[in-house]
Amino acid sequence: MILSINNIIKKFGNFTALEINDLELEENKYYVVLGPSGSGKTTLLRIIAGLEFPDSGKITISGNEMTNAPAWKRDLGLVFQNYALYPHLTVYENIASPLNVMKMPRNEIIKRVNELLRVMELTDQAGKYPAQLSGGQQQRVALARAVIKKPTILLLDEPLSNLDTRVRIDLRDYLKRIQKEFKLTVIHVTHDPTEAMALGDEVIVLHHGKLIQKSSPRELYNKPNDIFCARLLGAVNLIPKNNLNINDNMDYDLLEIRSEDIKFSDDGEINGIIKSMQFLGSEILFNIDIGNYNIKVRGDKFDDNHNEGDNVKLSFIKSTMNFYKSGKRIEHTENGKFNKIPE
Amino acid sequence: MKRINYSLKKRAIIYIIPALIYFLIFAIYPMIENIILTFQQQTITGSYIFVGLKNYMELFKTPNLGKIIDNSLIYTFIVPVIDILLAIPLATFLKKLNKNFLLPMILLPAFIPLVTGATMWILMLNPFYGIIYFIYHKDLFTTIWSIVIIDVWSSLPLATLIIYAGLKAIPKNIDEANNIDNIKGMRKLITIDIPYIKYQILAAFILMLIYGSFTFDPIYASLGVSPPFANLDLSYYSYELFFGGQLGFSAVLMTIMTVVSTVIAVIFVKLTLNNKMHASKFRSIHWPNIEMPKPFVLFFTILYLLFFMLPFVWIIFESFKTNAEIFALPPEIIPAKITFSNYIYSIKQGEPYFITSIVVSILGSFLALLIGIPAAYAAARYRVGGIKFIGLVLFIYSIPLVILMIPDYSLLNYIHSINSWLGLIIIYPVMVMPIIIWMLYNFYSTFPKSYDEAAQIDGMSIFKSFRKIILPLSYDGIFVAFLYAFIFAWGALIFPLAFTYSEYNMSILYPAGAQTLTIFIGGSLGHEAVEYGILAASSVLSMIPAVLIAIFLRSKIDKVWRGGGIK
Ligand SMILES: Nc1ncnc2c1ncn2[C@@H]1O[C@H](COP(=O)(O)OP(=O)(O)O)[C@@H](O)[C@H]1O
Ligand SMILES: [Mg+2]
Repeated sequence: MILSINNIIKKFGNFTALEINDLELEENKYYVVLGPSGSGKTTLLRIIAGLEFPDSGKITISGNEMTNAPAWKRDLGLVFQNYALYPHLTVYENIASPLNVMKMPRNEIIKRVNELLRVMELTDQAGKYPAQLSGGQQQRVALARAVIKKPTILLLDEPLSNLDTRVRIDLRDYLKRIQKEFKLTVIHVTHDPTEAMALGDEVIVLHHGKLIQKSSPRELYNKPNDIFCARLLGAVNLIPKNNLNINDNMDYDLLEIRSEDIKFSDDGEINGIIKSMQFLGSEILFNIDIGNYNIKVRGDKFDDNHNEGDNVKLSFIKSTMNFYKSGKRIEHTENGKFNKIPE
Repeated sequence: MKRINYSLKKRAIIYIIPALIYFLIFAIYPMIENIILTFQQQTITGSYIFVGLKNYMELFKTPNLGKIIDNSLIYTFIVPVIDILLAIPLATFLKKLNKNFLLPMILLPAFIPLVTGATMWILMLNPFYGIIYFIYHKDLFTTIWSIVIIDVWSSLPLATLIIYAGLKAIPKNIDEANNIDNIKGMRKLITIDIPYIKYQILAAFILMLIYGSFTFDPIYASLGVSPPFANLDLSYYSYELFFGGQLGFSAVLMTIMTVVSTVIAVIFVKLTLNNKMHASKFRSIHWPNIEMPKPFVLFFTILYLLFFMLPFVWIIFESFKTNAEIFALPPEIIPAKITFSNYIYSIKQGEPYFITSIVVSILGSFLALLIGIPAAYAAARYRVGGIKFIGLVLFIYSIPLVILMIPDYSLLNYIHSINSWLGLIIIYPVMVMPIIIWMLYNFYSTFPKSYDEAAQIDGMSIFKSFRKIILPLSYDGIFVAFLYAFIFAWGALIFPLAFTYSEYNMSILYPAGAQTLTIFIGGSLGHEAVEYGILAASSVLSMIPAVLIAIFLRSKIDKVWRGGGIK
């Protein structure tokens, strides 16, 4: 374990911003911390970095207890949400700063910085000041400064959210490449589920300061721990129990099925009327009334057989269904059995 | 309250310790020592003996004490009231006219040494040789109103600036909403603006209270031209007693002043540290809802400017006149033939004083920066010392320096630094460090935390990050603070008066003597053979730093002074 966090509580006044019982991270993996604004992501990152200190609990980095160690003893890299480049230093000096502090020999510093400038495609900007750079370039300088000392863990706080969409997609690949190339352990904070799914080897979901799920993106998508996680990505149907009469003898409140797991099929068990449809480019999203409930169904973009007002039959891919009781997903054995087919 | 990491905070304590120790020795200890002194008397051999309440009994034996207390009360209450009454309209005009060049002009009286300002007024109001001859033939300096005028003239700029800063900070959308509701003129000022800036008005009032209550410099400057006791106040009288060796009784007066100023200072500190707004009670009255026409605004602003600028114009004219012109009756307004001889003599005679003032102001301010910057940073960034430390700083800022005189004299005497540059350099931070710390505390409070945090992540300890990242990024703020400190130090009178007795001996190897330019100027009117032309030239020369700084700071003035101020 490169990082373990045990029973951390962090309060601001009476407000508990973070409460994490157990979180263990392995070396050389890309972790993404995902949660809405105010869920405690930055607080978690700052506690790991040693810029904020927990009220109780324990943090261990590479086997050393570091709970109250100041930031400069922790050997971490951090890219701030606003980059926090030193405005009075050039790009080169900014990147070299951590090495200068380590009192590394001069020519070694020059060699390392130049190499990183090349990798980050910043060689031409080396003599400029941060204010003269574009957002994307500043972002890469901040990244270079954070990785140059080969930190144990690289922490990124919403590194892409201040950038245009185009730059963002480019930099996503770039981040992943840097992580592989330097064999880094990365903790990347974001509020964007797509970004989390695209980047993370594992995704850690925070909600109201609590850890809700830590799993691979696939598992998060297919087996979300609760309704909050289920809703994070893509269109999901959460149908109250008595609307479909599926697994009636099971004790649950909600049934969840993704919009792409419902198909038009002539021998489908459910009847519905198409209320509206949205053409999204790569697919069509249908809004279908199935009695007292509307559900979303994803259709093929070439589908021109179904129109508003049509009566349709739908079949559910039952193996993908999840069931929730009081907001939490429950394990189930019966694989979606209709007790009674609704009219 | 937020819990701050203890190890960081402990480390950062080192930053405020020097400032704390300095204040304890040179400002807090003297106040306590004064109280002890009130029960003692110095014997012929120089040792102190306990005399019980004897010194306090002096209070009832001093025939002029009633007059002195009356004068003190007038300075204390009349000056701030006039200040506020004049400052509110002026601040409103300034906001309406929105001309940036007006601010530095209005601020000049506060920037130049107070002794110089007093001298200017004394020359201008001289019933025979001053410009007042054309209006009024009586000598104003037989009354205390001359002192009140000088006090108002020199403190009104700051009062105006504080209120102006408040008016400027009224959010645009409130002004716009008022436009739509058609609330304007007097009605807007009284029902909307004044309640909104109530805090600034109160702060200005308290600051002016502090300013007026311990009036010293104008009394010193006018000593030669006014009858005895005519305008004396507690502050000046206690200095006279100290000067005359009546330490015990002097300490009694100083202790009284300490108590009074502590009460005022506590109000000031409370007010400054919790800037809250309350609802207004003036809304029900129907105030005139008419905008004052622009020509009127211009007219009144010009009147104000005349009040501020006339003494400058007069003294500049005087400084270029020959003796014959100066003493011509009726007075010549504009010199017929410009002569530079006054300046040449001024520099010749004043050289040791000029040198002392330059050296001592620069090095004294520098010492204050050295101790003050880390303290301000630690207090703002790590909340070291919390609100208590900043409260202490503001408290020392608002006490009159006069009360520190006796114990600080003993302290400097103990390290053999009386009448020396070193002595003044050591003691000047008492006067300038509070303003430096307060200004930089505000500066660092709005300074992004992330630079320091990035430096920590890069592996720098908080000390290293302060040196390598924070200091280079705050040169701007530090420079402005230095200029203000310098302005204070340059105009200082009480400390040089109390701790020096001769001019610099012009020896480089064995420098001795440290009387400042302010003494050179302020003391000359007392002499029999006073040379008005040379005095005028010296006064003009003493204003140069203030003029330069006012021009340099013109764009930053209202930002820097917000919440803070100058004594
Ligand atoms: N220094 C602080 N003082 C008081 N409250 C804070 C502080 N920092 C964060 N918080 C609160 O803690 C919660 C979590 O904040 P944060 O970790 O920044 O969330 P996120 O990064 O997920 O948006 C928020 O409600 C925020 O208002
Ligand atoms: Mg955040």
